Amino acid sequence: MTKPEILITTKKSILKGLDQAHSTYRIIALTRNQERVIYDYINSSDEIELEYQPTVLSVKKFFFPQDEIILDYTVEGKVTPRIEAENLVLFGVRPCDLNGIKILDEAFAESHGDPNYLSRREKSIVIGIDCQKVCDKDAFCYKVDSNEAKGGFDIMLYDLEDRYVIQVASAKGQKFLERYFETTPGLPSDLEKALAKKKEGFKGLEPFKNLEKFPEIFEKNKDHPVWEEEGSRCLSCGSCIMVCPTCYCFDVADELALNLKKGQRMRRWDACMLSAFAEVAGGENFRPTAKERLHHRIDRKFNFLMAKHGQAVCVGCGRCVRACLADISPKVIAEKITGK
Amino acid sequence: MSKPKVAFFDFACCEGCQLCAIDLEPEQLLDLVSVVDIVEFREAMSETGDQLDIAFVEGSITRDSDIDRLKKIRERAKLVVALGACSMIAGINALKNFQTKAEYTQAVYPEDPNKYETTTAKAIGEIIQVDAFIPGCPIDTGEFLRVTKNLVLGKTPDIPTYPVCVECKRNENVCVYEKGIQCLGPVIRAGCNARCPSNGGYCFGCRGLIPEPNINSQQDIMQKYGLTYEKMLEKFKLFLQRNQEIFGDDQ
Ligand code: SF4
Ligand code: SF4
Ligand code: SF4
Ligand code: SF4
Repeated sequence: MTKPEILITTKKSILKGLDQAHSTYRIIALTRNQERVIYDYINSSDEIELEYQPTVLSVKKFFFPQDEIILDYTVEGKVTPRIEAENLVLFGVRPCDLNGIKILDEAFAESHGDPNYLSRREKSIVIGIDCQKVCDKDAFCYKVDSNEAKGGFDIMLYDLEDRYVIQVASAKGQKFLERYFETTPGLPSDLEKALAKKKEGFKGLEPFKNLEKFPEIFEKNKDHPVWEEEGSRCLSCGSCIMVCPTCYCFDVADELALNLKKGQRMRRWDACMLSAFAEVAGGENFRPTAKERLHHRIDRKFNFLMAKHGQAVCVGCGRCVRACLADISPKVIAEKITGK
Repeated sequence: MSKPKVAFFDFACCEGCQLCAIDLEPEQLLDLVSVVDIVEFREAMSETGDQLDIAFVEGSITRDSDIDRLKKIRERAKLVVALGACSMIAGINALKNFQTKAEYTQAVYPEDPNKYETTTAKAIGEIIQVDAFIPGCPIDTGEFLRVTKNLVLGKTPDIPTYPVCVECKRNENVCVYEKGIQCLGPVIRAGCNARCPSNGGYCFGCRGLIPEPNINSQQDIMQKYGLTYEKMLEKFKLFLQRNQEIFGDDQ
């Protein structure tokens, strides 16, 4: 791609464009749902919350849902795969979650690829909004170099009061932009202004000093006392994994109908923090204690998967920290092992 | 192949779980009777001595005379399934175990405390071997059908071993602890789709504990979130009286 061209649009134009796109796409945005603020389908841009508030689940659920039927079968052997993908616009996704999407894109594209996930991604337009400050006390995106989006978006918006500076990252993003948003050319100084505001907002919030060396450091600290200290409080409740934007494990089960003639193959989110996750036939469990499971989970974020993806696989969104009643936090564990 | 013979029996309970078991859509009922043969049902039939493939047992054991009857059911049945919380973990019947017999008989039948035979409420698994269970107060009809189907197929029923929090998070609920309410979800077996926290309540444990609950951590959390030790035990009382780690041996 040539040097990205800088465009400006008004917030009004963006909202109007989303309302127009509604006839072709289902629109997802941050919205109020009773007492909660969640990413959900909206019917009108009036329902959008522009100010970010942390959500329990990330936008992962739209590409990789909690439960899905992946095929129908009959006992005679007829198998019909189910891939349900719709035209989606995800509006207002923040850097932590965008980096999460980038990691999931890499994971689900591996070997033969996951058709359900990939077809949903293909039919989606992701519009990011950059953060200009940390959203709450539990988020630590800045510690793991994740307060800027490294990928996962088609269009990125940088806040400039009543306007946005726009960057486009994909051909489908470009097409969408031309069709739905009114833009005017902008100057490099517009983007600089937005980024200066961000710098101000994140002032004093530094990444882990030796972040790039995490895989090595975690590899050397397999017997660190932190695993016992934190693991002994863990309830193996799985909350941390359910809410994580980068966890992608699932369980597959066949559900034969009561008439014993046909059935459905289901997949649903699974979690390495649950006691039965690493249990195999015969009852043997490869990670029988909560301590081992916690160690494994954190190693996936900061050790072996980090080496594979070339970035921390914890994006610091803080969701697991908010969710864990036992106050177990990847940030605290990383600090205890690697220093602040 | 003849269809497996199935029967229902009840002890101390409200019979709500039996109602849930047959609260079926007409189509589901036809499917059910196409795979099993219901030979005894408390409401409709009398207890005969025939051999059974599956005996669903509802209710807690609260009288010495129940023990004999339960053992006879065990002898007749290839598989015994505990149906619902009363049968599986003694349920709310076990609340009386926190009082002396004199106290509760006096409270319930002040005119004639000795009128009825009664003793410590127990789960059926404390007396006979149980092959499978369907948790809940009341049970979930879908889960009943799934377990029955698996047993007919000779499979181990797949009842979740993970806790309610998993389902609660999948439903994207705001955790009730954030609203100052203490919930037993982290140590209670899922499978109800986090029914209570998803509908404005909190989990009080009707499906019983998960296989390896971290009771210490759960107790620390409830106290950290504002309960005194006594108030915390109150929360456990409703459904977990038979758990020795929490309440010790029979008082
Ligand atoms: S591990 Fe926790 S903070 Fe890190 S990405 Fe997952 S939920 Fe967010
Ligand atoms: S770390 Fe916390 S949220 Fe995760 S399983 Fe353990 S207790 Fe639950
Ligand atoms: S409300 Fe209860 S079940 Fe839900 S996450 Fe909180 S503790 Fe777990
Ligand atoms: S949430 Fe708890 S109390 Fe409510 S139905 Fe489920 S297990 Fe029972």
